[in-house]
Amino acid sequence: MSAGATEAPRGRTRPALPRPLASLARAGSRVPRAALVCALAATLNAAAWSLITVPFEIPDEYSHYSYVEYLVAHGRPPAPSPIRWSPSLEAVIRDLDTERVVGEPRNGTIWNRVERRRLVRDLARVRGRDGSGGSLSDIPEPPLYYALETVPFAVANGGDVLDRLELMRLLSAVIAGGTVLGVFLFLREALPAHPWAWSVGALGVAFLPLFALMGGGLNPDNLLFAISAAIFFMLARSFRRGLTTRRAVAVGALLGLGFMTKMNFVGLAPGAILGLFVAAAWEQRSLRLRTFRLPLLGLAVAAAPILIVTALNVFAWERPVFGTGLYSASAGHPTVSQALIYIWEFYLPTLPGMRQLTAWSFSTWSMWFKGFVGGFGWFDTSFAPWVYDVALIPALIVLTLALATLWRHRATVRGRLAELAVYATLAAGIALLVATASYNLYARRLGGAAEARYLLPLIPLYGGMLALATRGAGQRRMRLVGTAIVMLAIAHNAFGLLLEASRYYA
Amino acid sequence: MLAALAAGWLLLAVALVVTMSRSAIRQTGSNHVNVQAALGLIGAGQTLCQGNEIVPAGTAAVRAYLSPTAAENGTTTVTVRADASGAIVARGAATPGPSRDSITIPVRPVVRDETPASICIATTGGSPLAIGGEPSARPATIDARPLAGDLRLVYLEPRAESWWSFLPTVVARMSAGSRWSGAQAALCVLLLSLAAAGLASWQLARQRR
Repeated sequence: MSAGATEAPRGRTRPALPRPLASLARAGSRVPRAALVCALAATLNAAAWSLITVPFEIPDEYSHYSYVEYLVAHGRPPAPSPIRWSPSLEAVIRDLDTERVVGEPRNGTIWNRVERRRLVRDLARVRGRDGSGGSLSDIPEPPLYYALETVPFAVANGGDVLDRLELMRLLSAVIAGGTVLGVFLFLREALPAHPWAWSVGALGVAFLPLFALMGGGLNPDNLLFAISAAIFFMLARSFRRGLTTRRAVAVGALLGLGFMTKMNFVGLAPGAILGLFVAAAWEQRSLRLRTFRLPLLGLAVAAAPILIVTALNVFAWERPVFGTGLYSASAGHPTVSQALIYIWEFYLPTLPGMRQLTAWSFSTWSMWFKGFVGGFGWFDTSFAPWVYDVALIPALIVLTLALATLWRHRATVRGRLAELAVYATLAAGIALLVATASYNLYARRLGGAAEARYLLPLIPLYGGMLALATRGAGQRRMRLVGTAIVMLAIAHNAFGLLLEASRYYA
Repeated sequence: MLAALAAGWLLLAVALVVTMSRSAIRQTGSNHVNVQAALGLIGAGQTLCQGNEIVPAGTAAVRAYLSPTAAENGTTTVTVRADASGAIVARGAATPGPSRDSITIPVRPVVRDETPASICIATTGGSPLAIGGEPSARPATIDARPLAGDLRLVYLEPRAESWWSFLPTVVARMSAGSRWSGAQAALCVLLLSLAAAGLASWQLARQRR
């Protein structure tokens, strides 16, 4: 009998887990219950959104479905080819009249018995799954999220398109819970003084309707948000507790996973890489070559999956080397000055004397604030105009309280400037990527890519702002303000769900 | 803390009740045609017909996307003719109202059952009306002459009703093609969102620090 067996406790014994799994399980058991409750709330809420939102009414959802369908059928991601939906998918898109419901908020989904019977008949009868794998802009996207979605797709293999879509949406809802977990853990590391405020920040994210809408849909953005939240968490942890080998490997692994999830991750990468190096230098208070041992280890870990996917793209899958979506294709006739003006106007008001290139003279309000408060479906569903005016009041109060907190703790802020610079780089990277991608489309006369969801990888900072605002109310009023923030988020979410119901069913 | 939570829930409940109590005339359906272009003009004495329509049960008015081209308004009549029997199941007349992009024409009797039908619209006097719709392969016709596309039509209920009384209709319209009934789906949405919000409130209330 081995020594290990001799030392085992009497009674029931658990089978030993492999070391990495055991380490993961240990880490899991250290997650605070409050974080798990917030994550569960986010998952349940996203699942509610998944049920109320009509199939394929989340941006690009049928393209993503087609990608997963192709992956299951061929065991590899699709290569660029002209769009061809599989017969079963095409029948559902046609029967739901998706093309005429998208973009026209006055058109609900199909209501009458004749159309519904046709849908039911086609779901049962048209089973072909041979499609091209999605639209040309989505096909070059990396395969990780789609690979995960093959699991629910396979579970519902005997079902129809709508069964599979619903299960795949539920996986997204679970991933949304993971994002909120990451936000909570990030807040725990970044703002350690007031644990109660962590819940406020995480729950504020969980009930943000735009986040819940995406969480209830089949879209790789969901995994991108989760990975982004995990990166924010790991970097905050590294700044607070030091960059260890394990943390460097974790950030590296997240970098690799991010690149395998969505091309937009390119926007987060500079901040994450900078974070690794700054955290290392911060800890060692020096800039010797040895200081960068751990960041370089992290980068090596990140490089491994990227190299493997790139090699597969080139040698096995006949796909672009590393994505040629909206973000890497060359623009028509860009000029630097035009690009700079466009990027400015993409987020900020047009200044006097500035040529207006975007469709909005005040995009901060018309595009970003309104989109963030409520632009649902394919961003064709919005609240009554007065709602946005009213929403400005709590938004300004929250912003003021958050800024007041930073000002009150300016000594602490000064001491953590390097860490804040890393978060700012993460934010700037995403903001610049989205604006550049949109400019690329503009220069090619293909419209733009101004959608508030593209900024959701920065959702941990939104959670941070809510937590800071809670602290900003002072010790006596903190609970009142925090409760008000979460209740407002819950109300916002409830009215978002009602808006979706009225949009599609009334 | 608990008082703040209770007050929040109370305010939310009041806001929901007020919103749900607001009345309006709701749609019984539409033909999903978008207004992308002016398909042509319909003048006095002409008849515009849109085939392949499914007129929903409970329809008491037809809103046609016809916009007057000048100030003088004539009378616009509409007939709903069932495809199966060829019989007129409802008809009505109206003069253009304040809306500049559509005319709402009450029809009698209220359409009792969902009816595959043709909608024919004629005008007497007044300025020509511009026809709003989108290109299609089986277009509307004017005096049997095909137009470039379909006319947008929306069907309306007889009277304004609150969301409370309209709720059963909304629920019935949910989860098309799904294995779940609309009621099951609606119940799930309600339970999931309540559970999520309840968990959030519990989390705030139970955490001491």
